[in-house]
Amino acid sequence: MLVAGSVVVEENRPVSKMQVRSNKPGVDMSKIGTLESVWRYPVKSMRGEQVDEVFVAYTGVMGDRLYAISSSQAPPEFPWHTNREQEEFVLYSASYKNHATTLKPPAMEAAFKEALNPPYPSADAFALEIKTPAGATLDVDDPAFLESLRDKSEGELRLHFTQKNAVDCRPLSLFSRQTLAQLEQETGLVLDKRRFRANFYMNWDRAGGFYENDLVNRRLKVGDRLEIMVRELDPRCKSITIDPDTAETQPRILKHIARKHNGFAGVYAAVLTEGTVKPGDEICLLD
Amino acid sequence: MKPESNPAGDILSFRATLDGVEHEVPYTQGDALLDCMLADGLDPAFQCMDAHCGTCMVKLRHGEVEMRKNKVLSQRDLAEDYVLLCQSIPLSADVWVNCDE
Repeated sequence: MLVAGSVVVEENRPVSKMQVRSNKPGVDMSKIGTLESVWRYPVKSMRGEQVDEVFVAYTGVMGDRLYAISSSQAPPEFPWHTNREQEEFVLYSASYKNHATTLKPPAMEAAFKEALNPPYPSADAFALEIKTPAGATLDVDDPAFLESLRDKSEGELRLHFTQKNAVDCRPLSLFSRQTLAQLEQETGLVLDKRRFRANFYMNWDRAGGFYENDLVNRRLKVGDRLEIMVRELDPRCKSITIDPDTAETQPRILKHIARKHNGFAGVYAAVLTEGTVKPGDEICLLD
Repeated sequence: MKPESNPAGDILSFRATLDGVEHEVPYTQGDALLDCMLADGLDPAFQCMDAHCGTCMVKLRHGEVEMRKNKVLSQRDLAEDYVLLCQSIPLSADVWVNCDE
């Protein structure tokens, strides 16, 4: 009988890759918090939606920023037309017509058993409906949708679709309840967490804000399977000054973060092992 | 407001309100307002210095400026007289910006 890591293997018996790839003995996973909520933003820069349970791929949360608007006036390295150029973007809400099929890949469990990357459904499974601030409901590829944006934009606008998640920098953005509370205390403002447009909102087990800054280059496990590595601090921009319900701007928030926190609030992470997450999942430190 | 220029018309200074205090900031020809404020020991908020983050957006309360470039201020911002400190070059001798708005 062979012993490989924490797995006991009988001789001459086939072993699946998943059995070998088990936790190494002696790895201490200490719980550091809980996942409070999970968000995705079907159209880049537009209003996000909270989800109950969702698959997180190497490219990010399933259904997150699959659609984006580009402008001919934007530079090639960042061709997007965003809420910074048109604050009303945050008042547009989007929802997938086949909501349930956009939360988990159809053969996810079977793919995991074989240590495979679960394939996504085809593009038409991600058909999207937009509700405009004026109350109209349009398909995302209805010309009237882009037309509703044109009067406040410069340049020609185009709709893009990608299953690669059109994120700015990294697949996942994380922000904590404690960081929000500290910013509220420091600014004297009541702040809506949605300004920070994170994928994961966390509730740490320890008091005090900006704890996520200490987790850069450390691995976390979220829920049963997802493993991520916090890669860098999240540099903030005008986007966080925009009220998610009114689209009014409050530059003071960004100025405060720039002067007191070097411009950073929240962190970005990369995905090491794919998996599903849901509110209430424990967050454990692996390193 | 008394124009701050020399007989040749060079702009010598501009006004900036920061943290509730009004400052008269010496101006160096060709520099953006932010550069001059930092050289004067002031601490306005800024980050990218490349017109894309929006941190240094301030209200132009008086006078005229020209921005070298703008990648972040919307049509609404411009209509509300916001300018970027890192990109603004004064065109008149009576510029006053409010960094607290």
